[in-house]
Amino acid sequence: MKRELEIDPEIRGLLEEITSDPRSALRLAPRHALRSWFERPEPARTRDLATTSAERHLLEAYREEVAEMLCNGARLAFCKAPVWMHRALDSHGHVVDVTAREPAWRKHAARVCNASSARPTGKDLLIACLEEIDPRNGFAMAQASLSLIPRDRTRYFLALNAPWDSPHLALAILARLRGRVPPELDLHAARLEAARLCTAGRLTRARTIYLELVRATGSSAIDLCYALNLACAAGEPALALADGEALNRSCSTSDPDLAEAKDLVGKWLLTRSPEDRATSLRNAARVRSRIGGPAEAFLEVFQA
Amino acid sequence: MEEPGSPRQAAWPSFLRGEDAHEVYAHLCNGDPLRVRERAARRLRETWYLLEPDRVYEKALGTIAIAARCDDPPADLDGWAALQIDRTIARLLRADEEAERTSPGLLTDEQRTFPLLTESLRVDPELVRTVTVAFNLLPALPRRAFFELLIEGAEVADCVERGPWDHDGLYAAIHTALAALGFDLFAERPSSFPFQKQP
Repeated sequence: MKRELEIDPEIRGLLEEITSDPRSALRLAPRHALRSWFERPEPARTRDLATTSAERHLLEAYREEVAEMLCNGARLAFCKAPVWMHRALDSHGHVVDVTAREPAWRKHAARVCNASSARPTGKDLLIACLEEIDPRNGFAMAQASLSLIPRDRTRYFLALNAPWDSPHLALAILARLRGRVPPELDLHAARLEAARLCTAGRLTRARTIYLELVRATGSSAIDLCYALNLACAAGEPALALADGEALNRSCSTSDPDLAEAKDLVGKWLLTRSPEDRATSLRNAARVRSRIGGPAEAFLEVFQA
Repeated sequence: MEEPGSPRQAAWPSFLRGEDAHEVYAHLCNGDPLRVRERAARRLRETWYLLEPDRVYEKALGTIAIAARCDDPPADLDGWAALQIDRTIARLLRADEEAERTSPGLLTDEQRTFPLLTESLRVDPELVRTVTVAFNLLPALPRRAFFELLIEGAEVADCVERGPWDHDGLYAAIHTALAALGFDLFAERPSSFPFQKQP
């Protein structure tokens, strides 16, 4: 018979001290190591699993699978028709084409649809996307995924796909997510919030978020470009000059992110009223006359 | 005939084949041919997550049965099985955390069943999800200290020798782990410093 290991006396002493405190959740200091709980033989009931709880476990696993496909589909849906998104670039400065993953997604989605006859929420939506993902389905896909399995990652894609003419909906979802965004989506969620604040007309708050990102990342040319743009839009040439100087310290004129930021800001300027656009152009001209380097190159977009 | 050196076409073993996921599930339950139970328990001990091993095992059977219907047969079946168990663990961790946040105090039978805590440490079953979520959200080192010292029964001196901590570091780690489990209400360091420093 296997000898049970005793817990080190020092640790046992610590545990006994804890159990002596009536407020402690620990009511018993074990003498032996607890490994046996991980080494139990197969219980007889396991043989009955197939008939007793199989349905429940299979349905749960299937809901997870469908939810994951819907969440990934919502991401693809947004990337097929992105709105105010700074696209990720690879090490060669080329845009990372997330939509290239759609054929693989559709192939896997078809298998998921056929894997079970169960019809959880959103399965119809998944079936509808087997031919092609319609970007207009992004929000519904994220919603369906969330109703199957609540996840913070899915909440981010729900905010991403929320209609752009209702920025407060996206901002409310992002506010609920604050402090809980999965680490790999942290930067994206902050940039999404800033973009949505711009749509809601809250340019100063949006600029603050970009500057917080600059501080958080050490030095981010992307976020400095957008902060500089918003300083010009807000009629703050002194702040714009400071952002421009910081931008010059953070990158070179050949930085591909600079071109991507210029492209996005150029499109954004076209959505502004003539008066707002005039304010941006006037302030950008004042800064441009006093600065060179990457900032000057970025500010070219205000001359068009 | 297959040419020498050409990559072999991977195929599902018979126990992962079936008309539907139910049939695959039934195969998996019959004698556990993929050794899911053993793999799940081992993975919990390797990753230092405090989840009921039987619960992980039962959920993993569902995950594997569905995945076998959705994935291509893998060239490395062991690696694929490990991935499905990791997915199951991640799903349970996420589900418990979400439930703890959105429905505090409302536990399913499955969430309050954890004999390691309720029998060996006499933790109230109603506290099981709260304390395990708090524990599983800890960084790796405190979780590892708990597993090495209480689950594996390692001696303090051996544990320190294996590293990556010294005596103080190990003490801080186990203290943090026990506090997350609601086992430590000391406002300050206890009077009896538990680990004797090596001379």
